[in-house]
Amino acid sequence: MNAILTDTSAGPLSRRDLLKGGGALVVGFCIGGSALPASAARGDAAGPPDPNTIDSWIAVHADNTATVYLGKGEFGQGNTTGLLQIAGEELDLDMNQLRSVQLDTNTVPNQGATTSSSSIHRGGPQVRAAAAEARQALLALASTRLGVQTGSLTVSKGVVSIDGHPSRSVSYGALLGDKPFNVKFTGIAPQKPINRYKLVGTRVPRVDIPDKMTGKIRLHAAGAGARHAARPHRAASAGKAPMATAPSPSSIDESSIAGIPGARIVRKGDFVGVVAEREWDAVKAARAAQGQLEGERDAAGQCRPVRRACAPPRPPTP
Amino acid sequence: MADDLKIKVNGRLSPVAASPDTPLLYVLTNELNLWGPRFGCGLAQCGSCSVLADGVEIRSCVTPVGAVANKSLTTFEGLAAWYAEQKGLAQAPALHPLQQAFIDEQAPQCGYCYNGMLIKGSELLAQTPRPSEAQIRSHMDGHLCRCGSYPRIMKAIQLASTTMAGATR
Repeated sequence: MNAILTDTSAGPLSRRDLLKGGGALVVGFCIGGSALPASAARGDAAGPPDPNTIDSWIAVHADNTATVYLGKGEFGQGNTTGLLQIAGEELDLDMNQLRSVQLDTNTVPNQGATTSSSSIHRGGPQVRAAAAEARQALLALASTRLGVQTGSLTVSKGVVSIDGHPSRSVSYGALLGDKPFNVKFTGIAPQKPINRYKLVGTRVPRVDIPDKMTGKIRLHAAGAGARHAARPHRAASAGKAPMATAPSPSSIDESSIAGIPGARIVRKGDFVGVVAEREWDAVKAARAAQGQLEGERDAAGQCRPVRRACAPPRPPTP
Repeated sequence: MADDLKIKVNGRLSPVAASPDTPLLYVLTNELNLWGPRFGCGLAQCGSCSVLADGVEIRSCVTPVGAVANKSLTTFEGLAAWYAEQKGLAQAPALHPLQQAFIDEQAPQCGYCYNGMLIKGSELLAQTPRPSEAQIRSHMDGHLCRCGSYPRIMKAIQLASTTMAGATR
């Protein structure tokens, strides 16, 4: 995941580039397939968002949906679904009114590593607190709009109404649609008591699965999909080529790959790499170079393996 | 030589720039921009890279592209159209029934195996529309799921078998 984001060899990846991906680069999830106005509420400011402002966590859109910015990656473990349930619970939004943005450290708050089965345990309370605070801000706006105290307001599916007068209502989208909250994240907003939970604790379909089945999600941070994490920009950046690396080889006979078109050895510090125009040529060159390393042992007597080619450049989607 | 090589993928004939010894997977990904088939083990052991060649599942990570020049290839991206062709449907559904069943049964998890599971499962359902559990187990043996989602994949294949039977009535 980080490989996508820290590789700036093709120039910095701006928030706008990432979000307007529109099929060229789909990172994380765009639930419901709608165009994602994720940066609408916050503008296009560069740099990691300030975790101490609600706008870094949640945006409310004019269509009465919300985007939750998650600093956790989805590897199929379902944390997106769980964290959206938590946000939806506090905001009284249904799952189909929620989407997430993930995997861009320039866009999402830093929630630390996605490891140790801790996304819900550690990330959940942050999302819950942010959503609770967002709810309070929305209730304050609704109170002004409807002319009653916040205590007499009730929310269902993002529509705020006066207790006992369901027709006197206003939606989150109408209150804030794509405008910033401009509210500090204090973390002390009252949270919904557990005995009133309607969404958390229920079984809901995982939000990442449909896009996997339609092929919309073509990048994946885990396992085999990691190979798919090449940035499309790299294909267009001249001179970037598939590369295979070998750790700390003391000597490689460059003539060993001479027969492979376009393949050459590159060295940087303690690493030796093989580059070629085509991925398969790089793999072949790495294998040829491996012959030069066979039998080579380090001081501890360990054989040094040659690693397989890393991610290929990905052609831009037409 | 390589200039003359063409492969038919998802009904479309495409020229191949790579040398004929290049594994099919590299061509699908790097030249045809098809990202359903995945590089898993690279050794034909896991099934992550599977595609159909004339309706038969093959491992694209070890199959030289030159060896499939005369075959009709179907990838993850072409499964729905392949199904429509088999069934004689006027229009391809958005998803192959097995893809829909994977959604309905919440089958996939991390993303490593599902390409191969869908390819192999679709092959099975084309050959054996109402497979027994034993037949499913036997047919799917050779496709690895690291998450252990096999029971859900089993249910999804059974569900797809039912929905496909309904579609012919």
